[in-house]
Amino acid sequence: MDDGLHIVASSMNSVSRHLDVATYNAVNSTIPGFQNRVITTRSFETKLDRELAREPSLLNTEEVNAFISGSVVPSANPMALALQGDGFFTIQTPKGRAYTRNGDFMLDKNGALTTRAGYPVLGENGQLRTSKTDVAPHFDPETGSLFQGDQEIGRPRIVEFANTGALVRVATTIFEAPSEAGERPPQGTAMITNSLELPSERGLTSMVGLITANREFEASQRVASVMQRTYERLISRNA
Amino acid sequence: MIRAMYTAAAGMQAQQTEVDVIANNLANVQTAGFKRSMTNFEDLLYVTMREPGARTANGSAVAGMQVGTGSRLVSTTKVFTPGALIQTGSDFDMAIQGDGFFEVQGANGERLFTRDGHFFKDANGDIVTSQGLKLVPPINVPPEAISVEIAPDGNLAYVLGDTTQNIGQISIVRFQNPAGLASEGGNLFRQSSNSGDPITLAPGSEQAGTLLQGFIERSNVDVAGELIALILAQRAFEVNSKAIRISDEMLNTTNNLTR
Repeated sequence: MDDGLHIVASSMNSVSRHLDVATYNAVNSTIPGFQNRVITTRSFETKLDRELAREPSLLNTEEVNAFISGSVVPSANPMALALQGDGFFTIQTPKGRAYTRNGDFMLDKNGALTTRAGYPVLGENGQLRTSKTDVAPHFDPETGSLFQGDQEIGRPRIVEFANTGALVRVATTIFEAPSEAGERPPQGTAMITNSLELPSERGLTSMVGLITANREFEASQRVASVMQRTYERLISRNA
Repeated sequence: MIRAMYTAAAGMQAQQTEVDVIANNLANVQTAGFKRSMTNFEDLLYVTMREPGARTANGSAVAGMQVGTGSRLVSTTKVFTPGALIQTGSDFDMAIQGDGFFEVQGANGERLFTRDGHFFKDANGDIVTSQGLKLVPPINVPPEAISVEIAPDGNLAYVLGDTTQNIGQISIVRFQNPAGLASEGGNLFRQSSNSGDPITLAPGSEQAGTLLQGFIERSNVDVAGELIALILAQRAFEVNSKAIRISDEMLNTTNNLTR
């Protein structure tokens, strides 16, 4: 019977994590380039631990990456870019290079192309800097290069990864790539100018995730409650 | 019941896409040459708890037990019914009566096709669309042609004094499967592997449509039909959300069996 409470605790922990992830996804479902967090739950490998072999219901919950293309919507921001396919933009953070699909870019006070948080977007040859003149920079829809008037400044650097499962999320839409992610040149990723990529699910599945997590948690709580009353009976009988 | 909620969520997402498509059809009710889209849904994989036709111990077959997991949008297809014709009286406006498309040359030289017959004469005398794309095969109208006549078989001519001067011939392009064309926006279509290759014909020959000068083909969107589809989509959305709510209430009842 003491196994039962451990199973219930394990289930409630797992459901709490599902609830966290569902809330996170629902709240961020309108951010351009946002990719849902996904968690999977499975039983512990019972063969690895003979102690746990009696309790195959203990749960192991881990986070995985599952990237999908969202839907492209037009944007009034002339610096907005959307990606369709598996690629990422390259940005420069204080910790080094990072990658994002959030193409809601802007020009900072020095004229450099940056994300909304201020991280510079890297082109094929370093940062993309415009000069502060009256000529407004624009992206060429055919080639995706940033132009200021007739002068070509550069094309944002797009990369793909052979193993997206190795990418580590460091901010809502920013990922870091360890070497096992397998960075490679893009094959088939398209960049669309004056547009943003919005998550295609729009939070509906996350809402259902919230409802189911709530009910599962409640069910576990009921089980714990019944067990606790059974323990009480056992103890009070023996008192 | 948990599965019921995800199934209903899939249904809601399918209806959201349906509303997107209807909204686009309604937005383009005045667009010349526009063809409305229709959505095609399919049911998702079934969870088979018992295979239909499985045998019992004494050899008789049993009915199957399969539960579906929702629906999804599988394709949107363009419906190529003809739109109504409006008379504009403009010399270079043409409507195609029957099948076929006009061919125009894209900005990068690619082959594009359209039903929008609203053409103009540009500064050089070339026949172009509203976006300045040239008609293919190109036709140049000489400056002395004050008014042109376009015959139903595509022959373009103008009257000079007593004589009629021929300028050129407008062609119509047909496809094996017009519904397979890819939409480019701007009233333009592009060939795809589903549509088949373009077949250039003279208007009126081999089932290609004939030309009607001075008319434009309106969009084939039927506003009443789209509004009914919109109401149905909204009700379907509502009914799916009800399924989620009822599943939640059933789970609540289950959990409240004990305190």
